[in-house]
Amino acid sequence: MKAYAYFPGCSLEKIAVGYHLSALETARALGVELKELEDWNCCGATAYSHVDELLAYTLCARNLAMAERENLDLVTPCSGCYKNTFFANAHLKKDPDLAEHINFALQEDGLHFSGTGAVRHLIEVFVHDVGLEEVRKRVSRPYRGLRVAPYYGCQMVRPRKDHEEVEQPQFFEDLLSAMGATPIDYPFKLRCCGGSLIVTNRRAALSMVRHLLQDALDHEAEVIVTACPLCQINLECYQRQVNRAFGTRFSVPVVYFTQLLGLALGIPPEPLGIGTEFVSPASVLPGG
Amino acid sequence: MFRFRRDFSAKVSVTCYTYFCVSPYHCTVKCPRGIDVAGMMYGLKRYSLWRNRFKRGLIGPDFSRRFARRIAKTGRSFEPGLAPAFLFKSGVRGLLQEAWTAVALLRKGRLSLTPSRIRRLKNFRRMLGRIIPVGGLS
Repeated sequence: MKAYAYFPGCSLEKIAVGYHLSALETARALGVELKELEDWNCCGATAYSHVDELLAYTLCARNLAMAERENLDLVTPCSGCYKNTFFANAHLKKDPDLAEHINFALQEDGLHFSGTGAVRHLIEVFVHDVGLEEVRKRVSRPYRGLRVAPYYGCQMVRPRKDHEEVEQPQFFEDLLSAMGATPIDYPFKLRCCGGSLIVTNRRAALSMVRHLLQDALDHEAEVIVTACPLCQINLECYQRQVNRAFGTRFSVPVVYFTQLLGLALGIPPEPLGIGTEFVSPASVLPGG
Repeated sequence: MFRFRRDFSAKVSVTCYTYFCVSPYHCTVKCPRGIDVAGMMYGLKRYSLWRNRFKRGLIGPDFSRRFARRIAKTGRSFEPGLAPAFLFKSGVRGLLQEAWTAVALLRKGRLSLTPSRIRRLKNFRRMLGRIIPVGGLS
């Protein structure tokens, strides 16, 4: 069983608790050990980088140093945490002066960043480390013909982390196919859900959510699947407000990929946190 | 947003549109010259906050500052602690809709009324205090 330092991020503590529960359950079922970082802190989200770049790096470096102390790579299910932590790790490895400055601050907590670990997104661990063939073998309740819209969002794929495909990624579709589902191809799968605009410019964010939902429905999606807590909240919890604002009648279930995978692996809905959604997926997901 | 003068000093103007950027990074990955456009937008936002140069009433700068203060206080984000300051900005209808969303989240067990804190908070604050120039943001 391969182990990783698990950094859930703030959203998974409560507002995206279903993602947290299903991440742990599916990882266990796939033979992946997730050891939660013992005293993790916020990654800084996007707002912290508006205030001070050094402080934003320091927040990520503290989590990275704790993972290094365990000799484990850091894995996170949150796309925002992934992007911030990945680039903090990369910048600190590349810039010894920056690392020295931040290590001076980390001394206050008895920590040291040395750049020995890697940062991974949970979906990447399932697709590449566990492998699609293994996932396929372990699926006991395949989705036959379920039309699923994979929603990548922004920060899981952009900015480019290495030499991966960022214009037309396919790994999400591949994972859904391994579950027996039918992934749909729709142009908005890489568009922004509005992110924190839901707080700072509500009307603009609701409009972005509206277009995204409409595009998925135009391509006959029965359910939207995401790998980011903020995307799930914007796309699902704000459907009612989109309907009020634009006179639409959306009622599309939006679940986490770990929840969809968990059901396919034969895990019951409750341990996967299914039942905490605003739009119930029960009508489309067997056992959901 | 950047305008270079004859002496090559840059005149920077930050418009309210700067804060409309939520960093989806489409521009960064597509730029044929490899310019990190999203990174520049971050830079402009930092500049505007340091110099206090932004349109009054804009939510973005206030949100970022409150968010940073919240993290310095507890080490973790806490949505219910941030939201009240902005509830009235979307008008009465927006306020009612946000209140409905909050109650629905609470009923689904997806909202906490008390903030979560990291355990080694004193160390954490001292750590932030060693970073120049903003320090502990207290």
